[in-house]
Amino acid sequence: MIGVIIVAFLVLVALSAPMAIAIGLAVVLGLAVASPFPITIMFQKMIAGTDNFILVSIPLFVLTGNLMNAGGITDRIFTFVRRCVGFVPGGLAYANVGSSVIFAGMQGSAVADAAALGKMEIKAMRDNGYTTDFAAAVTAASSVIGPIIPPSIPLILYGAIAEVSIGRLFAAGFLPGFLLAAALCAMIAVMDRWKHFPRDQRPSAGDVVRAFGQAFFALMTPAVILVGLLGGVFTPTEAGAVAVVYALILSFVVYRTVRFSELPGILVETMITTAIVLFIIANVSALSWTLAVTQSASALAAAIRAVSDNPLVFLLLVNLLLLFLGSFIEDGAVLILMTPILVPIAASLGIDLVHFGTVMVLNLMIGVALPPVGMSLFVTAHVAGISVERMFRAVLPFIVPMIITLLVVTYWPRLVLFVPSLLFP
Amino acid sequence: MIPLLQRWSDRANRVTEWALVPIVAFFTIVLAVSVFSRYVFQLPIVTSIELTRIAFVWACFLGAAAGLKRRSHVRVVAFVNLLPARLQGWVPTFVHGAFLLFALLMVWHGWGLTARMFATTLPTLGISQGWLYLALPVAGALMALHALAALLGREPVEAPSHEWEGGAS
Repeated sequence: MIGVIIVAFLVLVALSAPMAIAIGLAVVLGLAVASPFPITIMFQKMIAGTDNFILVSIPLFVLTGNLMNAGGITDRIFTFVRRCVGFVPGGLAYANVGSSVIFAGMQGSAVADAAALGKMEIKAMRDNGYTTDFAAAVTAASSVIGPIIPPSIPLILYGAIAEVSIGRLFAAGFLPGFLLAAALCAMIAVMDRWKHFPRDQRPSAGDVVRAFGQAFFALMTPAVILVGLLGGVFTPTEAGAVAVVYALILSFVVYRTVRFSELPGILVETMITTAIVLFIIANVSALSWTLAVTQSASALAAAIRAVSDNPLVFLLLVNLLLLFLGSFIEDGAVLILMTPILVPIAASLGIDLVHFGTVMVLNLMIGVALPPVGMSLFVTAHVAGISVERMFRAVLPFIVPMIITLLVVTYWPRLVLFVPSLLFP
Repeated sequence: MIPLLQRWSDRANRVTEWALVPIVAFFTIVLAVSVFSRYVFQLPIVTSIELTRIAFVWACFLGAAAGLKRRSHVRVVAFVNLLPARLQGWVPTFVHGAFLLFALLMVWHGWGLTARMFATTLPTLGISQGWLYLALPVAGALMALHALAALLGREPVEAPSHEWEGGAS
């Protein structure tokens, strides 16, 4: 049955059938021609895979990001960070990275980060004398921080599929996220050596305080979400609901930047974004079931362990495999597809599944900023008004710090697991 | 015949998107209220989880149907872009056809499941599990309608213009 499914899936994907449909039709074919099970199981698993309380948090975090974006709350964050660091050479580039770190604590998607912060960051940098290409490259590269620092939609997907605690995964995302931000800043500092980036005038203390006051409620969002979530007060789904309520209050009551008539459109947009992902999950859960009944995952695990029993070699192979798959399949889809296949193998090699999830998500989210299918690149190129080819060239220098961060996170599990071990002893 | 089909598809999608608004608003409000009632008034709402689950499953399947209409389902185009132009002309037919086939399977098997699941009830809410499974044939019917209209109307498969509000990645 698995052989039929794999061949049918590869043929359908190569012919550019939508991912969800390729998986669904392949499983139906496998059940029909090579199994004793009825086809109806496929559709029963579709509902069972969607009917998961943890996944309800996804539209909530997407909605939070969309509201923050529509409400111009991101502008206030950027202005505040700019006042704090803008006066050093290359200051606006650092402010670009710093804003992504703060925005990452409110929402969990790289594409939302690039779309929400991108327009204003690129305009500010261009007005200040940076090239459009460099501004767009920093924006796309720093958008990767969004889904690494909690909350994170990819970490929720991984946790829901692999049945790993979302709280621990979120806690594990902190240090890799900060490390990535530091690595990107180091790259900017190196580039400043020969490009000599412009700087803002030193702000007065009053300017900084004023910018802080204007951004205060926006800056409190990560605190509200993370304290509730990591303190064990809310489940991820409840934290998502609290985040939405907070974003609604900011947009409609405190800053009054969103009109009520815009809300239905934002809700529909949010749910379609979510449904695209969930429709793939629905079909993958049928695929996972066929993998389980045929015991394919354990056969694959045995085959891989015959080659090498070394977890370090396995992690390297996983990283290469994910970078390869991510180069032609959208990264979120790779995550949903590969998690049920790779997690049993990682578990059998004694790899901590929180660490493994962080590695998978960091790897695939770096792919969001890599040519040729990285979604953040398309969004940023669109926002910056440059061609995708120019965008691809501009982002190349930033691949170095991203890959270095990935290697550190892969081979230093204690860094990743430090915060979870503090919060969840 | 084809213009009629396309009109129905457009109309059905308007109703779908219109229905998504109260459904998403509903589960968001139910969750928010249940958090506050649990922590502020120490009053857990036990039925909130099941209500949320039903609303969420419906929102996902209706949203997937609306996503088909907006042509935003994820595809891998790296390989078909290598095909000669003459063969590339068949790609939309293939994609819409694959969607149509899967949608019809969703209607057929989804309806069978719904009929069977109406006998069982959800534990705390006491209503039939069939309401959960009914999302399958309904979304399947919508997808079949959109896919058939796109297939016969020879519509392209790429989204007309990209509008990024957010994303899951």
